[in-house]
Amino acid sequence: MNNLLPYEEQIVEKLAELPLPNLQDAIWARIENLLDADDALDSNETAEEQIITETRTGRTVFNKKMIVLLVILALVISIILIKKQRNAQPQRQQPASTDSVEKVEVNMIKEQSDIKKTDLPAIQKANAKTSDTNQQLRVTPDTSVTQITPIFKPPVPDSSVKKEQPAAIPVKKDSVTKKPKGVPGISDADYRMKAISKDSIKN
Amino acid sequence: MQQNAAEITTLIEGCKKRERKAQELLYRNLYSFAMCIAMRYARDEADAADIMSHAFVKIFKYINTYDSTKGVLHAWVKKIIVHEGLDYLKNRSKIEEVEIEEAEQPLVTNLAIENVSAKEIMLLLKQLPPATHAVFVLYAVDGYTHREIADRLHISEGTSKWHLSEARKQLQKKLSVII
Repeated sequence: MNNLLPYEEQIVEKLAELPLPNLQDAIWARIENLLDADDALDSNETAEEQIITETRTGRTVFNKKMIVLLVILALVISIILIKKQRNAQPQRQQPASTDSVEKVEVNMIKEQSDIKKTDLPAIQKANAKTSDTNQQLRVTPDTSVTQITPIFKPPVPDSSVKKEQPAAIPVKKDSVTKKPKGVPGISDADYRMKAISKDSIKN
Repeated sequence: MQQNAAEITTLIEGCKKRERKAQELLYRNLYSFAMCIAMRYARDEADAADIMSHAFVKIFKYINTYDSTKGVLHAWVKKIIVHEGLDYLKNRSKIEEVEIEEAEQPLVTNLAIENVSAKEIMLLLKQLPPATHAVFVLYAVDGYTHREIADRLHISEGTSKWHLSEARKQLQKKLSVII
């Protein structure tokens, strides 16, 4: 107990004698109302909790079903795609490779027929190389055109041989039109020196 | 006395089961004890009724937490009512923080308070500022220490001492006028 002054002790004693108001029933009625409200709130909360738990379990079941369905769907789609790819691959590869090889061979035959017989040793060398390249081409058919062109250039120095552009290479046109060179109306031929009288021929 | 204790135990068991009849009986059993405490913190009877109703709802709500081995039911009920009374005081006015090192000791005169009625004393107490009133009741009547008061009201011990000193000063002044 705290140290109290004498008059404080008297105050405490007096306070104990204080008459109490007759509010017993009124206060109980209020308490009862508050308890009823509290009980109703509790029952509502429990009902809400039940609903929440039910919906949660419902969601989880729904989610599981959805996941299983999605997995099955993904498997079916992937199987269909793989099958399509397998069917498409041989159709694409085989004709492409044979076509390119055939074209190269046709080109070679044409070139060989056009080449003069005097160039045989060089051509023989070239043929030897082409046989190698043909083998390479069969392995890598898609790159055939680009690989052959440098091999044919060195052994055919003669200008009389007709150079044919490989059919496979598409010539791309510039999308931007170039500005013409020089003065309009004057070509390169206009600047060439021409002999007026051919004296040397006459003599 | 033993019969009363046994009765209270059965009532507590009934309250734990949320039996309305048991709750009512326990309330009526504790009414005078609880109302006496509530009146000390309230300004009037209506406020006391407010404190009582809210305190008893809490008592019935948390009766499951009451452990008879730790203390008597009356002490547990008193704690709840005092807490509710202090909440009421806090809501009524903001308790200002006043820092002092040493509380001034008022001049103590042996007054003839015996001639003053309890009602008049209660009126004097109610005229005190809420925080001063709360500290005086907690310290002098309910026997709380300054540390406990500071913890309950969220103030420092110095502030609690200052409020007690203020209460003493003002009470002496008012009592001297009456006497």
